[in-house]
Amino acid sequence: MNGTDNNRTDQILSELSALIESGQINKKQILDLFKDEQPTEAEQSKVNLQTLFYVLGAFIVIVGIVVLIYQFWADMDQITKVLLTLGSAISAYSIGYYLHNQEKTKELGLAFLTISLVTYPIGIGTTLDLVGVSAMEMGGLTIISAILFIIYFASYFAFKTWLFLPFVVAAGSSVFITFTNLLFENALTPKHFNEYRGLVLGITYIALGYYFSLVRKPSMVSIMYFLGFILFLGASIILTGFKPNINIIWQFAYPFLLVLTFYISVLAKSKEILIVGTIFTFAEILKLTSEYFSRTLGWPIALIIAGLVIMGVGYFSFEVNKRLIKHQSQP
Amino acid sequence: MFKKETLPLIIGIGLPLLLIVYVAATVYLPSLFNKPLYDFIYATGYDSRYATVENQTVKLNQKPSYYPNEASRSPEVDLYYYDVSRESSKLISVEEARNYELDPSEKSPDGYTVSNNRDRSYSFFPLFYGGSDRGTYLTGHGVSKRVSEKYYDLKFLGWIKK
Repeated sequence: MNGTDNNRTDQILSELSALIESGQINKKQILDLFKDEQPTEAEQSKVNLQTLFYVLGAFIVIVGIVVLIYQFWADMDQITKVLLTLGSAISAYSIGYYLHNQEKTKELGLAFLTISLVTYPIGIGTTLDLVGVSAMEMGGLTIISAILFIIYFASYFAFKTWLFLPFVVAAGSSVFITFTNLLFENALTPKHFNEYRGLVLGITYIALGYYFSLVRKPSMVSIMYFLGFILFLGASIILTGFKPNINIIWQFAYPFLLVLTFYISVLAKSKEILIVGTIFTFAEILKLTSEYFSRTLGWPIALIIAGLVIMGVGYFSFEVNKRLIKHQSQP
Repeated sequence: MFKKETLPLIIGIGLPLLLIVYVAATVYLPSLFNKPLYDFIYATGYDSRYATVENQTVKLNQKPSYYPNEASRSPEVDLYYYDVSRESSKLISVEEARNYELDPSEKSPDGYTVSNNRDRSYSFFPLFYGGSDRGTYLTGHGVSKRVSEKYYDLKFLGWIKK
């Protein structure tokens, strides 16, 4: 390299550090530049097939463990139960940890880690039972969820793989639900508390989906948006109430929430949000038809009108996907 | 500096935490400032309706006979004393119950009531099954305390007079 090249390199590096400091570029984006060339199609399909076998194998092992536990559960003493359940989880986790650290067996390591993630809840529940904390009561469930959340969250930071994220979210949600249930264990739950809790969890999932889109975790974005909008719209439609107990404010707001959902699906270029929005629009049409038109128009005519409107919404949704979502997603 | 991705993360984690704080405040704050003062007696069992209060004491009425030649029978009733300071119920005999002077009013002198809640906790996903709210509760002044998990065959008899 000559002097001019060195100057240029220094300049680029200083610009790069300025971008890093301002947060406009992250470590992963830089590391991606050093990555080898993309695998060929044949290599890609080999990798996919290998992953498929690992996933299938892990699933069969999980089924095997569950069936084994189920068959002999009644005959086992508590210590054996703990050894079998928590023991399987810890063994699978250790093997997964070892294999994941080897470059060649990374994927296989993930399969073992999946086995441990699924068996940990049973293992921790059985262990708590041994020390006298019932896993069938809200207090026990809250403790199990909290321990799982800590394990999954720590594992996510240790392994830096997205595999743990759905488990982190599931355990976090479980802590939230069981803990709020625990708070109301000996008191009357306020009216519509479950619906508002669903609404809050829905907004949380949507916010996390947006967060994952910003930090480039595409696998999590679809899951979070899908579940988030199901919870959000599901809780909202129940809050509208059913005749004769209609809640006017929610009844009025619900169509706007559906429009907002379609708008967000276009903004986020998300087919999942569009599908959920469409299904809940169908649900609202059928709900309104049964509540307001079935008696005045009669069921047959109300159904024909509802069917036509649903076809119209379906066509609209299809067109939105074709023109605005698919079109914009293409590079 | 505040990063762009921080806001959705704050909303995502902050909203559930806010709800937990709200729940804790609505459940526990009123009970810190309002304590029910009057213990009460209630009856449970299929025949609990035959337990009444007459002249401020518990009375168990005989069950009517079903057949012309059948003698009337004693009702099968369990009587409980609910201690508001300990928040627990204690099984007592009819004789013990008769030692107390009762006020059968629906509302206690300090403004609490005992009522059955038959509504099941509503849920639209298995995830949101919050356990059942069914049971009998002591409620008033923003406080609600579960007296028993029974929401049927439980009859409130009266407040213990001080």
